[in-house]
Amino acid sequence: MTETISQTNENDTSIFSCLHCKLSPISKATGSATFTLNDSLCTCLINGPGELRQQQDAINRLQVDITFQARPGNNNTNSTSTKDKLIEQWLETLVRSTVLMEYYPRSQINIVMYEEQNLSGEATILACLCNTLCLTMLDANLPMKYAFAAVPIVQHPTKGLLSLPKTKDELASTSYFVFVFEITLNDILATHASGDFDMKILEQAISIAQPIARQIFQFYRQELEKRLT
Amino acid sequence: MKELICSTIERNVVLKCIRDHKRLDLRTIDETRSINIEFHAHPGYVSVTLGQTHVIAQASCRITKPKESRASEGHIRIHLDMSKIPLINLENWKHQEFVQELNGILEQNIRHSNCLDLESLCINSGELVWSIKIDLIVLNNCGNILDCANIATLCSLYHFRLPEVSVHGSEIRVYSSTERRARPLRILHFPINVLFAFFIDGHYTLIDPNSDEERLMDGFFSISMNQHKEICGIHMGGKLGLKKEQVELCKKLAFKKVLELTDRIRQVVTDYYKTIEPITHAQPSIIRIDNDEDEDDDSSSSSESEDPVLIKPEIPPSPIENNVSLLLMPDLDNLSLTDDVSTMIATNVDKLTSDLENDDEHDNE
Repeated sequence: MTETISQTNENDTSIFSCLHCKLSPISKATGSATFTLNDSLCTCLINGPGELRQQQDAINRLQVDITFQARPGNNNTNSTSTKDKLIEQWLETLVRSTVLMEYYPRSQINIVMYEEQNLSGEATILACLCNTLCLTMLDANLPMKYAFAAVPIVQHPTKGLLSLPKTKDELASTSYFVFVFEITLNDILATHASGDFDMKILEQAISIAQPIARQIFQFYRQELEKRLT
Repeated sequence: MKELICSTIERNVVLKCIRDHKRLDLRTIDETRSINIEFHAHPGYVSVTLGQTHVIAQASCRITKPKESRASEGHIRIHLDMSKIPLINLENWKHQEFVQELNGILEQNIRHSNCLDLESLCINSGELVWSIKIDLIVLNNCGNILDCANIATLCSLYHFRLPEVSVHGSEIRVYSSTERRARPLRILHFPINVLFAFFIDGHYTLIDPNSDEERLMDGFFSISMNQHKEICGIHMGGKLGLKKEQVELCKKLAFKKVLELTDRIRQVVTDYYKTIEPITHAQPSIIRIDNDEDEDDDSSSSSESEDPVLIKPEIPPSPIENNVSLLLMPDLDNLSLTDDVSTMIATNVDKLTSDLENDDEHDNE
């Protein structure tokens, strides 16, 4: 099975055309951000740190409460589906590893994530959610060990491994990876993968994703600088 | 999460300004905040901001059995979700009461005013009709959620596209957006809601209160009108007693706002669809399918549930359909009919009481 590995020959300008963000769209929240990655759009807001509810017991650390609201209307009831709960748990692990939890004992933060638009499959929306989450935490000035960025990689049957895929390519793909890198050492914080692949393809995907992550961190920096000037 | 308590100093400052007929954000008494309406690729999805108050709406459709008494009418339901914003009035039960009050007002304005032609939602009289549901989510509460949610509902309804259906005897076929272009809903009129806040025993009034003003108001008076000067709904909330002249004045003020907004909503949606006309594959509308087993499968006619109905909900058009992803909805060969029994009973009762109310209003006109 021969596969061509597409080089990431995108120059800096082209990746920034896929990314857009707006900081603090929701005035009453502690921090909020809207992030667009290709055709996926997400909004996230953070409230906190605030009072802990009676039942919860977080003596020496911060309690994190994440809610993911997919686009309403798919369920007949209004409860979160199991797939959305999986996403919530995955994001919670990210937050736990990033935020300095010992700084806020007996407090909780509430994070609410909304998926506003999703034209492609899972990879882009998951990456979009992670990036929105990071930007929101940066907007809320939450003390973090590092910033993180997620990169979606898909395996197209003819074009090979593509990073930041366009909608058409993603829908035609068989398997995908989402890698979350952190800014200090460019190590992997979290991954999610689905489909049929082997270790070689996984390693190739990681090597493609790392430079893209650096560009996304540049994008974060630009956005935050815009805000402070 | 709770909102911050309003301090006495804030309260005194705001009330003093109102006594001087001034507002802290420099608006006049009858000026609303700027409204921003944004659509995205999914039909029926709209994001409306009224100043800083932000509400998103999503319309979705489902095929169900109609009510026994109204065999050729579809249904419409509105659900307002304020669970993600900080608690209003600091207590959970007060917050829930407020949500239910607003939900009731929205239902009264949209459903009982017949702004949507329910007979146009009929597929097969007595057997299958479309049931539209609007889910509203409040992202940011900076006062006057009601007006914002109302505009969002109307925009969402006007923006939504219903899939084409063809009936062949006892089986129906639902076309995806790539096969036949989905058609818009038939909206007969736009009932626009205007909220008036009253202060200091009802002596002073404001249109479109922001969050500080809303926390301090005695009560509110919401009036829903369309551009033909027909009143679609009136509601008084809080501790308020009004004179007849005040109500008449509110009506006049409301009518001016209604005219501007109706044109605006129409314009915004038609502009959006003009810009995406060149794109051949529009996004499909959300169609909810029931996956769970029906206990009353015997009651529903067997011929309809066994015939394969072609529905492809939420799967965007793609030439190669080998998505093995878990998050996308699976193809379904059968359309299971549900009996919306509990909601049907509830809505029957509501309709009766509100019919009486509507009659009273028309008499007073």
